Parts: sequence; C-alpha cells; structure tokens
Amino acid sequence: MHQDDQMTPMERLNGFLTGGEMDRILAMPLICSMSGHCAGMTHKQKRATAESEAHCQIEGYKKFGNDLLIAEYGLHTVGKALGSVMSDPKDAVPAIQEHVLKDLNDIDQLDFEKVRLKNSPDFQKHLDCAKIMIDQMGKEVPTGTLITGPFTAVSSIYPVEKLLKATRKDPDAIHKLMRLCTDVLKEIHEEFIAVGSMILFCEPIATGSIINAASYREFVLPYTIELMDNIHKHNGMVCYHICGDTKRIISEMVKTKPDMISVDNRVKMTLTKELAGPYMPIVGNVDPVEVMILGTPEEVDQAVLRCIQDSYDSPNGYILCTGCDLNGDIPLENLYAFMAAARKYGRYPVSSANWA
Amino acid sequence: MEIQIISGFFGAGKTTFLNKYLPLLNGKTAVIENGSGDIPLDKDLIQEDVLVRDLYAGCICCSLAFTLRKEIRAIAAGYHPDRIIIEPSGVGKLSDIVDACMRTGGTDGLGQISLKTIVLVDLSAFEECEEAFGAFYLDQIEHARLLLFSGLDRMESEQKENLIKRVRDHNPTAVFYGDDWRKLDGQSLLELIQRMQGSKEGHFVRKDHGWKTIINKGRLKNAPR
Repeated sequence: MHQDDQMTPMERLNGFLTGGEMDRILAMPLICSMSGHCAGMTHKQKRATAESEAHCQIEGYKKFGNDLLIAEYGLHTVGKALGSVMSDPKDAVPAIQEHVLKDLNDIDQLDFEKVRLKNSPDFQKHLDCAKIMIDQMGKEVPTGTLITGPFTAVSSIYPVEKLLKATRKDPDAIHKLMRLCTDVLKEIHEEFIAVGSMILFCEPIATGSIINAASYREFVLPYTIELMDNIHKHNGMVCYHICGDTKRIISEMVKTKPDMISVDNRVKMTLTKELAGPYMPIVGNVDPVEVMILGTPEEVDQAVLRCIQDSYDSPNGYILCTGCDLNGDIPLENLYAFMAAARKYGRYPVSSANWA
Repeated sequence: MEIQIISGFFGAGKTTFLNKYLPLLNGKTAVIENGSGDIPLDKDLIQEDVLVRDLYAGCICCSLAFTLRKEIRAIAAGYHPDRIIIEPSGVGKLSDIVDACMRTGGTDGLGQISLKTIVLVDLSAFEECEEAFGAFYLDQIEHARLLLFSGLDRMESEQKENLIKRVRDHNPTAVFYGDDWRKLDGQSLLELIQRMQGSKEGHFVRKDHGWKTIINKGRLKNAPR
C-alpha cells in the first residue's frame, strides 16, 4: 500500500462498489502510453515484452499509489493482426502507416482468424501482461485492459476518412466490418475477463467531432450494446470512454449500460453528472495535455480540485481520472501532485470542508 | 514564421493543391503531413530543399495537438524554414490545429506566428457531408481564411452559386474562389493566397471577371493583376 493511503486500491474499489468504507476517492490517472517513464524506459522498450509492460505499470503504482494498473490491448491490434502496417517509433505510440483494407469489395479476403488469441502474438503479449500484474499485484490493486471499441477497430482496418465516407455510400459494408469486429472483440473481452481484468472500452473514433449522433446510433450503438451485454454475461466490469466532444451522445452511451462512463476534458463533469450520473458512476476528466503534461503541480492541484468539486456528489459515485490516456513527456511531479490532490480534496467523507 | 494549414475532407483535393502549390514557393519550406491520402505528394515537382515529415499520430485525440507542437518546434529549431505547411487529417478539427499552431508561438516560445488556413471543399458532396458528419466538417469551413472548391465539373451555374452561398453562410468573411482553382496559373494562385493574407472581415473574392475582383464590404475594387 502507498505510504500516504489508509486502504489498498482493491479495498477502496470494493468499498466504492458496495457502498462500504473508503479512505478517499478512487483516483485513476491513465498512466498507460507514458508508463515507461515510470521505470526509465522508452515506449519501445516498454512495449517490447509483457514483462516490461507489467514492470512499468507496477513501478508507476509503487511511486504514485494510483488505483488501477492498465494492460493495453490497444486501439490498433485488430488491424495490425489483419495486416495493417504500424510505425515503430522509439519513444512514441505506434500509429498505422498503411491500412490492410484498400477496397470494401475485399472484406471477405480479411482473415479474422489472425486476430484470435491462438494466432496473434500481440494479443498473447497483452494478455500475459495482464496476467503478470494480476498474479503479482491482484490482491492489492485492480487491473484494467484498454481495448478498442468496434468502430475504432474498423478504423484500424480501413482508413477513417474512407470509413466515414462509406457510412453514406456503402453502409452495408461498414455494418459487415462492424459485425466482424464485434464478434472478434467478444473473444478478446472474454479472455481478459477470464484472467481477472476490467475492460476499459475505448472508442475514440466514435467521438462527436467525427460522427454525428445519428451515425452513432446506426453504426456504433447496437454493436456496443451487444458487447456490453456479453461482458456482463461473463461477469466482467467495463468502463466506457469516448474521446473528444461527446456532449450529444452521452445519453446514447448510457443506453449501452456500462458499469461506469468516462468523459474527455472537453465535456464538463457537471453535464456528465446530469446526463449519466443518475444511472452509473462517472469518471473524469483532468486535461491530459494542458494540465498534466504542460501544467505545473499547482495547476494539477487546482484541476483535480475542480473535478472533485463538480463531481463528488454524483448520485452513483465518482472516480477521479484524466480526460484521456497520458502520453508524451509528462513530468512525474505532476502525477505526484495529482495523487496528492486526490488524497487532500477527495478524503472521505468528501465535503466542502476538504477545500475550505 | 509563417504556418499554412491545408485542410479539407477526403477527396477534396488537398494533395492535388499541394502538388500545384509547393513548386511555386520560394524560400525554405517544410511540410508536415498527418496521415496519408490516396494521392502522395509528387516529389518530382517539389524543390529538393523542401522538408517533408509524416506525422503518424492518430487523427483526433488530444495527443495529436501535442505531437504537432513538438514537431513544429523541432522543425523550427533544426531547419529554420520560412514557412511550415501542414496537411492535417481530413477528419481533424481545424480549430484544434489552429490552436496548436498558435500555442507554438505563445506558450512554446517560437515568437510571432503568421497563420493561414486554406480549406478545400468538395462542393458536390457538401450537402451530404454537412448532414452526415460530426463537428469536424463545419469546423474546417468555419476556420478557413481561404475556401477553394472542387467537384464543380458537372455542376450547373445556379446550383454552384447556391451551394457556395450555403458554404459561405458558415464563414462569410473567408476569401473564396468560386471557380476551378486547378485552372489558375501559378501566379494567379499565389496572388489569391496573398489576398487571403490581408483578408479582414468583409473581404472576399469571387469570380465576376476572373477571380481578380474583390468585394470589400459591398464596394468593388480591382485586385492587382
């Protein structure tokens, strides 16, 4: 347990879920892409093996006492397994350089068997990472796995601009890809649930900046409901996150019935509390760039305070988090400041006395 | 330093524009492309000293703006260009890219940034895209300083005028060129882009007698030929 806490993250999470005792609010800064910095590794060194990924997460936890370890199936692994070509940068997140699908008439040539665990070394590596963390730390701190949503998975196969165009010109083809990705994501979810991981369901390409609410309802919502149902059927727990501006679709996201809903810093927590708070815990949303990477510890402190003030009384509970994955050269002192502010302003019982 | 952003949705002609525009430029130019379209930059047309960088950093997420700022800083420090031209992803919010670029001048200490935003719009797809897509599409149009149109080939004049008016309802102050910019000779294209530089509210360009007519708050002026 971290020296500044009175409970382990697992005890705290159990208190949160059962209405039991807690020492402070849950605080889960998304220490994911930058976790190598917690152990003096580049991103490339970190992503090389399951052991190095797990090591960086555990080192981060030892430093900060954050309430979640994160394994990373990621946003592009489906496309990569099928043949999309990825970059291999030394200290940055790999990105897709060439998509495997050039023509929607060739969907039947995609071999989705390649995405399955028995055929995908990347899937195996990320699953092994989750297993290592759960074996070593599972009694003390929960593990979640960041996994693409189906629409984002399709965008790892077929370029997003063409995908968007095809939602109008060839919607049947996009539904076909969504069906294929949904089916394969079920197996992915089941494998991670089986080893004891939460699902961090991330769908950045479904943001309101890219698709409108009508397209979300047609192309994303039904498949997401199906996946959420499947997660719950296998006794999994899931947090649903869409990046960017989701103001117009928060109510639709709620309909998918995740266990909690996470919003980007472009969405006010007060609005999230109003639209999603009556149904489930809400999660968010300190600015990952302007505050966490570029801000000072004092600015981090104040941003955490604002989030807690806006959200602590949400009817089904609140988890302090960053608005998105932490990427880039984040000063570690800002992560210390984030957790210190969580302990100071989020001390239970949370009330205005904490920041008076 | 000058930064020019060439924005527009897939198929609107961004890369075609760059292949025509880059060979016209004097001085040191660096190009940052975010994601690759179907049409690559024609390296045979571009001067040898043009630096071209691919920025593979996703398409929308917060990390893109940060990565772009790092890239601009690195290019400014290592290459000292007269201008940087950015071709962002077609689904990127132009306002985010503008904000990132302006922060390189302020927060990041690169000094005064002169920013131009050129947005290409496929007019034949405008109505469908306006209705179907998320906020990025109109955000690009709203933050343009110069609007160029494609997809005019089989369009009746009246239909074209109506559609241009509808586009301009979202940004009445941008300079625009109402005919096929691909047919402009190099000098005319440069002059059109120069015109954008001085554009203020109420200025725009339209094709009355060729593009070289400016209407300034309703008063006709002849642009330099």
